[in-house]
Amino acid sequence: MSPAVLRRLEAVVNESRERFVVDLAGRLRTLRAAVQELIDGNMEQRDLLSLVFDESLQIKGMGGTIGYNVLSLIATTLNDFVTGRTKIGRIQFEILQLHIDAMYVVIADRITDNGGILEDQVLSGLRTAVRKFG
Amino acid sequence: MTEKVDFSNVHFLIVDSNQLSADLARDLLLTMGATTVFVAHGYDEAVAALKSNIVDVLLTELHLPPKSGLELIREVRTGKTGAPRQIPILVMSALSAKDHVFDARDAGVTEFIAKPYGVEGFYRRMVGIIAHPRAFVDSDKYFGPDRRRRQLPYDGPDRRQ
Repeated sequence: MSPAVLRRLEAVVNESRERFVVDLAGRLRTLRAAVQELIDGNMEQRDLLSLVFDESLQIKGMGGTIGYNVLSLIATTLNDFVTGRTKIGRIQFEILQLHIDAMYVVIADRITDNGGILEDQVLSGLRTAVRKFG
Repeated sequence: MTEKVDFSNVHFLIVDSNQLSADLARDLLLTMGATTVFVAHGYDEAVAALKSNIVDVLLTELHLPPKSGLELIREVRTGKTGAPRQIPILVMSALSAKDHVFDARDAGVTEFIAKPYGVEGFYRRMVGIIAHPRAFVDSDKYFGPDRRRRQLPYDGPDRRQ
């Protein structure tokens, strides 16, 4: 692959970055609203988990493509966590919320690539929580 | 070594329910020189596109609710869509756990790109499926590209002469 082709393809990704970020933020808002619906008793756990599965899969696929690797990594952990799940307890629900909050911070602070030490620690903490309570 | 491939005569169909992901893949292909890129956002739309257009390469997501990209791949490989059974099929999916990759392989995909993907990997896969088409296997239980990627020495019984 010639450097010129690589530059042209990267330019295509750069041009779509902002649209991706807006879309990702919208998906996170949808997830937060759904969490609130569950808390308010207006949504079933099964429906929330199904929505989280779909949205986290999309976030996983989109994040790294536009350089938000850490976002994809958090979404991957969340997607693995809800895969095959139809019910969750209190602790699992909190873990789910923590994932959504962490992704919000990544988008709000525009943390690209793999982030820094702090993001690494957050990711490590989420993975540990999933391993322990998943 | 840099390989040059002319994508201008290759007709692509992208199947992805995520509009932005589909648009990005389309824009990358157009930048690589493709001139004909169809886009479908679901299973039914994809089948309709395959029936009414000439498609040389199919790129599909596995997660196509309420159906699955695997169903689409099987339909193509069994000749139920009207598209040539041997067309290269490239899966681009965030469903990238080992089980999903194996299921896709056994359904007859040519290549698998796990999302998120980088542009270099995308380009390499596209060049690969156009410049180095894989031999096909047509048996009772499987129709698709030869799933063997490596030549391993074998000295056991039933070795072919």
